[in-house]
Amino acid sequence: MTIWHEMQDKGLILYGCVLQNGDVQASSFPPEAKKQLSVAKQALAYIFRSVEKSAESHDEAHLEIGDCLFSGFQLDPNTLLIFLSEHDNDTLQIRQFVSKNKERFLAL
Amino acid sequence: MKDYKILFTGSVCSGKTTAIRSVSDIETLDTDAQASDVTVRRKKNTTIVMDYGVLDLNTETRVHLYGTPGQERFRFMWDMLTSEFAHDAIGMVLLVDNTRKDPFRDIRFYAKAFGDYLRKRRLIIAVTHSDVEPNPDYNRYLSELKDLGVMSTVMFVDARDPRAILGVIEELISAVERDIDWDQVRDRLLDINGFSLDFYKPLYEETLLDAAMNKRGVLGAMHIGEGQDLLCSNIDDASIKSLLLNINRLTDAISEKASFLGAVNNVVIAGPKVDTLSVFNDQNQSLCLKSDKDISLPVLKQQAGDLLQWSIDNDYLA
Repeated sequence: MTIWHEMQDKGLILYGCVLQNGDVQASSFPPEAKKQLSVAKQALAYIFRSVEKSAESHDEAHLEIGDCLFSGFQLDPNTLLIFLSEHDNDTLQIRQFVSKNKERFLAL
Repeated sequence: MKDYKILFTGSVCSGKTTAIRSVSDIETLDTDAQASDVTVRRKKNTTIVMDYGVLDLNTETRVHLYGTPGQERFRFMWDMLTSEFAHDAIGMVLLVDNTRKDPFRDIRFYAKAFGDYLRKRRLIIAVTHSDVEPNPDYNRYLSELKDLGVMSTVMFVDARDPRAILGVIEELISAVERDIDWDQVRDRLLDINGFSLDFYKPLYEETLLDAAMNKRGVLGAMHIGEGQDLLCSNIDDASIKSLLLNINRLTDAISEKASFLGAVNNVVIAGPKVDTLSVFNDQNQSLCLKSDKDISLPVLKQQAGDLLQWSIDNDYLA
């Protein structure tokens, strides 16, 4: 079972993706969710660039748009983890899962 | 003596205390305290436990009127009222303040909060403050309620007017009591309680920022209007201010370029050792908050949504 399936089974996310320097390293986004992934990538990358410019140390972002929730976790300076989930999902549980499984995501 | 009970609920300042007071035959029990959060903007005192009044319909029939506190933080009282004092009420009256930014959000909220309670009794939606804000109108309410799947009678009332509130009570009681002389009760109430326009005594005093600062865990706030217009801010840190403004600009850009997804409702950024920063959008305005990292996202969302309900559009009332 992949880590994406594990998260789906727990009801945490719909799809996930790891970006390494902006390029997709691993993803469970299906082709029909390509547009959503594109929006998530651009928006979350912009947010973390702004965070970096402001010399702040936030490493987690959630963007609720329509019925979707895009979540981003800056795992290290080059690696961004992106999730798409239902807008009312529990972000605390997603955060806890990411925190416990950081190394697994980095190894993808 | 036959006793009936009716439960009144609704958002802060929707007129629950006023409605009960306007028809009660006894000096109403109300438990007001100085409001400490956003409600201060609309009035100084708010019910914290419950309202209680009694109306005698004739020598044989009496109605007990219970009112819930409006603020959700007194939710334990809602449970106590629905499971104890008014567990056998004949119906519930949901007072909806028509000056709220989105009155239907209140209906959705209360219909959900009292969902189990309403399975066994009638709901009447009594729309108040329509003299200040006539829209949404009656037809819009009917159409929205149909879409929401809420079965209810809608009545536009002035909570200060005993005739109007008695009309709501009549709607509930007349189905089970056919021998009440409603005209006589109406005349008696007008003689005794009168119809005073002084009941509401609203005091619009606090700014959105002050109200935000009274919310749990909020450390700073910034209010942005249409066209990225910075209306007010008490966030002094330039880098945080700039970051929030950047994120707010992003939300506008995404809502425009990715309209197929819908509008951006909010953006929250967090970290293990930093304050949480968030941007909440509501129609043409945004509320940016700097808050304690331990405040959960659902709490933050609820607080921000409530604050935005009382903002720009109601400024003319100030």
